[in-house]
Amino acid sequence: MTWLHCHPDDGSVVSCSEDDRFNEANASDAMRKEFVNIYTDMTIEQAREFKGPSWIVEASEDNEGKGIMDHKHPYQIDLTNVVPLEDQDKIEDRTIAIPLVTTNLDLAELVLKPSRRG
Amino acid sequence: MAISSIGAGQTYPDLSAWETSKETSSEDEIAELHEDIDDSFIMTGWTNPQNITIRSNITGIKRTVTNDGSTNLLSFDDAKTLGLTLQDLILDGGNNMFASGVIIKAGVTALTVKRVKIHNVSAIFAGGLFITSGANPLVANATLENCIFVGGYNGIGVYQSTAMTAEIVNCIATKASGNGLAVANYAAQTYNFRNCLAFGNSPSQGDFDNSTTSTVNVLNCVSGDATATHLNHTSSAGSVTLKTDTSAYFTDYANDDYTLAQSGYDNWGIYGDSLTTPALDYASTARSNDDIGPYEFVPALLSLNARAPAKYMAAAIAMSPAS
Repeated sequence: MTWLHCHPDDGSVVSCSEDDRFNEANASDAMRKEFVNIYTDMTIEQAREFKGPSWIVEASEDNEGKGIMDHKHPYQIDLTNVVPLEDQDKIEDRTIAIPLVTTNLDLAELVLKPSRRG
Repeated sequence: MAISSIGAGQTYPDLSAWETSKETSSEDEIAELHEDIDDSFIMTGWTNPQNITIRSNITGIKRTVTNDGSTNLLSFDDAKTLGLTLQDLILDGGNNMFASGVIIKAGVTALTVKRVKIHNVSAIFAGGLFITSGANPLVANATLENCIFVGGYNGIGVYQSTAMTAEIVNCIATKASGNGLAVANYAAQTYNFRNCLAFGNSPSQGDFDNSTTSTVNVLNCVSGDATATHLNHTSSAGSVTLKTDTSAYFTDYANDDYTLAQSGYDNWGIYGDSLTTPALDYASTARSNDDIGPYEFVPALLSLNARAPAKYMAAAIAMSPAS
């Protein structure tokens, strides 16, 4: 099963993983309290396309690789759309575990943040 | 000091999740990889200065980080990072065009890299371990031991402009499209290459870079070209050059197996400096013969005979199971 792990502050897609054992019983407290974990039927390879960072400059001539980061986490999800209403109060409280979102994510919920550099 | 476990079924699935979770931490942080992971990780936006360690959960057992996209594998871009230690890792860049294995763009006052292999990194504008230009990287002291750098623009590429002392010990840099071991050109920088190997890097740029202003000591090192004893080096004591028979030196040079086919002395006619040779090699094998490069040559027990040097006999006996 593929999971997107999102920042509870703004729904940024921080990480993704493929783990059939990731469930309410096995997920760590840290992952359940500090992230909103959303199931997707994407493959892990597809999910990685939504994980950051994103870059403005493709390459620089002074050998620095991709030079300027635009967003550390370029994609975000409106959590009010995907987290069940009865669980939304838990998003703002890092001491409470947020139940895993086990319904398949609608890809339309993945939104690319506008570039910060125009 | 906090230790976090990384991997499926662990506290965090990958380093990206760990990094985000720890952004506001106020203590030194250690991430221990319990399995191989796919990740492209960037460290930035932390609240407090602290020391960071990323390592295998078992000393001597390598954990591989495979590039999961088109960016650098481990990227450090936070001026507040103090010490950074990387240990017992394999960083596989996946041959993405612009990816470095490790790139330091800001901070990191002390860098320690031990028993790390970086390979499949880009041949363009990137490298194995890269410290970018300008004054944002703050690496005052760097220690690299028993590391393997394969490919990339540079195996090690240093472009930082601020003061630095780097000890590069028992490493190998090979198959780079630029310098194998590139140094910056600033008077306040000192590079000590000890017991290192460099082969098969750009013929036009050379295995070992040279600098007219930095202090560059290349000691007990071996190059395939003439650069281990370049006249610009401050010292080249004990180093030898023009050693090109890589297929004889290593078990399988073409396929990136750099274990020694025979002793370093038999390969190149020199031993490493015993005072600076680390106690363990890349594979965490105890060193007994001060071989050059990341691996200590360990002769097969069956090949031991009266002609074997006494040092090898002692090493073999020490490794034998108790009877």
